[in-house]
Amino acid sequence: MIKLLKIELRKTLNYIPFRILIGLHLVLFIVGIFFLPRVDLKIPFVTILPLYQFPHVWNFTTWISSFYNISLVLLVIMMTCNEFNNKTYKQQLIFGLSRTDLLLQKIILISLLSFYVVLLVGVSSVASGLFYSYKITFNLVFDHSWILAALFVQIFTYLSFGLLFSLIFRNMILSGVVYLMYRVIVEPIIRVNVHEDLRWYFPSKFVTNLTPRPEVLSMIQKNMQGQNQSGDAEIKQMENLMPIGLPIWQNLILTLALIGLLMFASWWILKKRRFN
Amino acid sequence: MPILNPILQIKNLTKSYGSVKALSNLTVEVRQGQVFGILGPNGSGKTTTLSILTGVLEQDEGSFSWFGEKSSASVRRRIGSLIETPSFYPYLSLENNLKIIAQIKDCGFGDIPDVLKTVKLFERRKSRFFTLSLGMKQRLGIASTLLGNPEVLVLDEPTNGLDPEGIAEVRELIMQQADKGKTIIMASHILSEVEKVCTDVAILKSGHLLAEGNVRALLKGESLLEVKADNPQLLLQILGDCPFINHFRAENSAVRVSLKEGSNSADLNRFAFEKGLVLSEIILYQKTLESQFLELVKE
Repeated sequence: MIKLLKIELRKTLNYIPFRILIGLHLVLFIVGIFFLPRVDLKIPFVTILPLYQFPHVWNFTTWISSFYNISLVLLVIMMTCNEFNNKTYKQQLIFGLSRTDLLLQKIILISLLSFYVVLLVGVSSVASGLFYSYKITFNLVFDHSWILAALFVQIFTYLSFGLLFSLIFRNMILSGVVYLMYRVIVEPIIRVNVHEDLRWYFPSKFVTNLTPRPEVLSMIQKNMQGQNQSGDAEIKQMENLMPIGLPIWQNLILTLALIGLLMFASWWILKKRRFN
Repeated sequence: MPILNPILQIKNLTKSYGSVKALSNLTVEVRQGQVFGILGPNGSGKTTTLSILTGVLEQDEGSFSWFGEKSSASVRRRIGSLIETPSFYPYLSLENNLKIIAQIKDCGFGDIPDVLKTVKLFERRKSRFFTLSLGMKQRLGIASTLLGNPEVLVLDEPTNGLDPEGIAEVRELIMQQADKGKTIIMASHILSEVEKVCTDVAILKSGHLLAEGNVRALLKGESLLEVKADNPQLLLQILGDCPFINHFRAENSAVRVSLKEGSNSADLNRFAFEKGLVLSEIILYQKTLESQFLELVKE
């Protein structure tokens, strides 16, 4: 495993497009997290500052990070399709890796990327929480930190999708387009055509719902100034109208099962793939 | 001469691509220290054979073993292979590419400067792979096979696409390795290459093994003559009585004669003259691997 990690790091970290994309991801994430509160200050009577306070900050930064996931999926697609384009999968088999090793290398890559996102979200949550919160206690700070584990599983799943599509299509553009079409067009269309209760059992839904959307409306409301209390009930009602989905533990079980399925499919394809 | 250990045993190896049979019941054995050529025209199944042996492809039927063991990733680490064109990470330096292979083979980085010097690429060790010329890429491919000092080298068309100087250099490299006692298995469609480099050869055509044996034995063979006389009838009669002829065959106005070992054209000329016939023309053909090969693949 250590050997595969070293090999994967050598080929990944020395690849300039990888460095650029990771750099962009980092910069855009930081801009998204730390510059939003400044914009917010210009809107009268409304503040989203509570989103940056403990414990809500955990949900909020996790939610923000999900907007940047696509760039990481594209990274995995790029690195995997490169192996086919450069015929380096074939070369590595010849030199003595097994087909399972080829898969393990990429599992290591997606684990590292998932860990990177968790670290980024963890550090920025703690930093902005400490900066913006008025009240800081141990419980308040770490109450929602479990979400980092859910985030890891979530990112890992998205990246596993990217890996599977790359192994199927072996072409960067095709894999990327199919991934996007599946997420943005195919699954949503199927979802709206099935019974309401079944909609939560679609991959994009239960994986996304691993990290619940922050209750933005009620938090903003709490900080509105000069408003009467009657608005409170209305907003609560609006929140209730928004569907909640399955309990977290059910989402987690479904997601873990999905990861198993994606990994098995990837392994099976690599096992059957002709490399010449 | 001691019987050397078998390095590779192939039994009834068969592989099809859809309806095309690329390899049919190939059975071959390669022993320690041999430089074993797999010779055949394009599409004869050479690369398919080597791809199966190096784990890139799976056979449909049959089996093979390396060092008496079933093939596996760990067995492949004991072999240095170069199949078709050398494939490396184009954006990595030569050094980093070789480090990846050294890590796969668990052999440490100590060999890297030596193998780069062997193929005369040490000065370019920091260059990225994509900046190399075709010949340099091929030499790096050979360098990669030498990492970890493997007992066996498997080379597929190692001089493909090289200029004459590059071909000479690569051949020299292969012969140096053979002199060190390594077993080398080399596929080629170039007859002269096999003649110059290999000790043994297997000739393939359309996935079938046509002939196998020692290159010298195949080369030694029989002497071939083409003879003509003014009286062809008498010529055929005399050749029928001649004791040092293997066989003969009339072709247009001439007769092709195969002489037994130890006899030559002068003996035949003298024999015909004694029988009252003057031969008007005698042409000597040295039977080469090429003529053997062409005869075999024509059948």
